[in-house]
Amino acid sequence: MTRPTLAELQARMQAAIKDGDDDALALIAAPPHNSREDRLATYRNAYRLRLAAILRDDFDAVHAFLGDAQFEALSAAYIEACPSSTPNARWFADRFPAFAAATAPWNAHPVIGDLAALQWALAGAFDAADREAASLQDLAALPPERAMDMVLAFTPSVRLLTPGTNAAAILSALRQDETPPDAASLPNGCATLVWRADLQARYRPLEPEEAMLLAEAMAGRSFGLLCEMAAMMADPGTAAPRVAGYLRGWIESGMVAGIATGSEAPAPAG
Amino acid sequence: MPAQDGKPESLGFGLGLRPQHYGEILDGNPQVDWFEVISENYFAAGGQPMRMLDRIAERYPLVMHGVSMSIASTSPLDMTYLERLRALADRVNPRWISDHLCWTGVHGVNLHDLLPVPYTEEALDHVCDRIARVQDYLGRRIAIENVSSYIEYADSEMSEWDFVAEMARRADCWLLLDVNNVFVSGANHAFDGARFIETIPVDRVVQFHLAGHSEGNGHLIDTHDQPVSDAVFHLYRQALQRFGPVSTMIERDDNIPPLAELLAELDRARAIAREVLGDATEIRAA
Repeated sequence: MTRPTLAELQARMQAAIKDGDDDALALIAAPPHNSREDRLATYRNAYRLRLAAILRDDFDAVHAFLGDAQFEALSAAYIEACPSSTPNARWFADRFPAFAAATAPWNAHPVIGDLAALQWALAGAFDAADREAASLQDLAALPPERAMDMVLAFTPSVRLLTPGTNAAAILSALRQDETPPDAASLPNGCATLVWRADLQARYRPLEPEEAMLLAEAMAGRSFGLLCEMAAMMADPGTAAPRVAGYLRGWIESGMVAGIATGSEAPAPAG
Repeated sequence: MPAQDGKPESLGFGLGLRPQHYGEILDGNPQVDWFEVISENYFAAGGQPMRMLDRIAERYPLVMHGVSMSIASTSPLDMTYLERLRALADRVNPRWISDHLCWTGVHGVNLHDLLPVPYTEEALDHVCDRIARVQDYLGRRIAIENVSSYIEYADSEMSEWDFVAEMARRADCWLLLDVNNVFVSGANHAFDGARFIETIPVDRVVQFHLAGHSEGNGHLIDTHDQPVSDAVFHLYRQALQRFGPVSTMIERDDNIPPLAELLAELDRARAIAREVLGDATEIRAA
């Protein structure tokens, strides 16, 4: 038999480990004890165990919610369908939330994909790029006459999700070692803010008005435009103070990285 | 390869930096001479991992240890990976950068395992060429570690130790001698670990790894979830006799105990080094 090139050997070994192809057994020397099959099985098993362990770590709440058997089945399906293409195990699960949301039988339970997406967003917030947060003093330093032109830049950890289920309530219960509520669909979704403060990834549900305004602020709308939008959502007489209240809350939460006025780009804080 | 000074002096006795120990390290300033960080764990953009790394880098010498360079893969070198590696090196100023004599996947797949190479001239040429290119890109010699293996390839033309020794000479790289991996592979392939150690060129070895292993299905598995075994400490003694004072550390990646337990294990390594080398163990980089 012709000796395989290094490239052929690696392709066959990879197929043996990832896809269970036995062709590579011929590449392996007879071991001094036990068998080629036993030795190859160590690599095959380690491959699946290692990837499954990454998913368990990244999605401990999904695991707790589904139980061992269901989570293992979902993990095995993901490992099969989406082999890792990243040199960094941190990113192996990048497609897991979308996979859980789109793949039968798990797609029949949207809460699974929602819970996974929420956990993945928290993981993303945890190690997102650093940016010094703006303070209320930065806000106070703005000339009052320019307030309506004010535009915010948010820190890179800020994410806004709108799961269509009570995934956030389930996560909260699991985090407090309480029995989670039954999964439920929420017709209008449950806007959920994810961000990092004091090195911790955090989340909280948002009322519809704050969710809408935050999405618009993240899209670069000015304070004046946000006030106009708020005026259409509820009492126009209190629109400006309501928006100002949200804005103060975002700044105090460490979500805002810069405040700018007019056509200038929001300057980084500090 | 750019001009570079000779083999770095021993840093003494170190540990692998693990997030479980951040608090104990920063609050307690434990008696650890240096830390090894898993490079990929600090490819993060920011947040706690980078904050902790920066604070620990202020207090301790660091070395960077990667698991994904895939130096023996026949896929092209991952330049994005190398760019991140170089950026991290610029940030933490490691004493050296290491990875494994292995491949981790081909055709865009990463198996997240350290797969052995066949010990052939073809593989040797390939690995040496890639090491040279990585060293040129990083502007420094890298250290290459021997892996634990569970298979040997039918087409191998030489022993692992001859391959490693020749690779170090030909590629002009450093070596990270993992004493546990020598022991595990020796048990799995019926070779004497001492024979391996006696063949490795003294002037290339900049670091020792010590770690624990487990019994698998009829062979040993490199699990890093146990204390270092007596047999591995025995082989460490033989390594010290050949190589003299070399930066030594304990790797623990699973079933991670409180820091105090690892410090006690590290003290055992120190005591062995003192027995073998006497005062020479105190030689460290400034």
